[in-house]
Amino acid sequence: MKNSSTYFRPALFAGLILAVINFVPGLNLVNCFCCAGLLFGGVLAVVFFRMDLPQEQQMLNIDGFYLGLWTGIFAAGFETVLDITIGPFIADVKFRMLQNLMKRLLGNVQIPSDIMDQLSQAIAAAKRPALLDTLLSFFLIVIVYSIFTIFGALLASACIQKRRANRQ
Amino acid sequence: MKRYKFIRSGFRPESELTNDTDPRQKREGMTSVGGYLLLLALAFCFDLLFTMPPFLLHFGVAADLIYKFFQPVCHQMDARSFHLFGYKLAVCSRCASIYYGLTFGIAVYPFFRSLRNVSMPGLIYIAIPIATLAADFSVNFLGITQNTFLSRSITGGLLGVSTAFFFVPVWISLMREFSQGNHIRKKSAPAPFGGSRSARREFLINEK
Repeated sequence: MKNSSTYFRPALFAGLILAVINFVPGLNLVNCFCCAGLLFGGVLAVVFFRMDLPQEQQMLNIDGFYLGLWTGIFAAGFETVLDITIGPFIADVKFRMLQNLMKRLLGNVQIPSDIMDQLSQAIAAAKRPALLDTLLSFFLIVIVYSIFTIFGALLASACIQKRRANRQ
Repeated sequence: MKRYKFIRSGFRPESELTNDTDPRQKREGMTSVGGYLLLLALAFCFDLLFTMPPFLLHFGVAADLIYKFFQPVCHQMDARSFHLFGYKLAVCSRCASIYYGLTFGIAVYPFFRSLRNVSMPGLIYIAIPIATLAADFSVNFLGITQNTFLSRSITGGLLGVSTAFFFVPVWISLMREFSQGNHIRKKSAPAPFGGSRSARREFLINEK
């Protein structure tokens, strides 16, 4: 018997993993590749849900939609908490990693001074998070994360349905 | 000479057209078109959102919120972004190409496949664009050679267009599931399966 709480557990785990991926410097580089991290979060929720679902039960696209939506919301929540609690301590590490990434992407070209200024400001803000900024960024990432996790979860659920249909 | 007529599923030879008399098929057709138009509108709005900042800045309106909105999903580097009026778009050139490609793919979808057909194409059609984009990304990231604006735009655009052909059938199928669910809820008094979500799921699966 499935009810709405069935979506929560897989979405919660997938959201937590997604938040960690997006938060940890280095791991979050995966999002440079077409937001692969966010899409992966949606896929992960569908995989967890499928593991819980009895074999004889079929998955629907509605399941994928709700899983993606909840994963995006949970991920945004977890990431905001991580940003507030651990963020200030690893801001310098993030700064150095971003610098290295830019050097690698731009090749021999010098990093423009305005970008360096922007980065420094962002790091300073990360060290002293303001309540209003945190709330604003939470609402923004809820929306943007949900869009991408729904996208990933819908595609994953459709692939699972297709594979099941091919087997039958 | 073969005569063509524009129908919901795009241009089709008149000889292939059949009369939709089955109400269920008719309802499904309506949902497919409605769902498709909704998706097209959403995709268009999304494109508009990240294209808007240069226009806003050009007319002296602040666009910080839009840049902040796209910050978690794109590096937004100036050197790697399209510019209008001297201001960069809210996403880089690769991301912009993917999103424009996706909208273009959604727009042309009915001319290639029927909206009633909710089966996905073979995975090879998305594996190839992903592989080319990954190759373009990797050569730069591993320091083998520098990719260009053109290579990033082409590989991104290709991925966007091919993704649309996967996503439209999934979206239409989702819209049908939603509409079937709402339809059942409205007409089920008392609910034939006690109104429980699990029973409704089972009903939808059997309907499929």
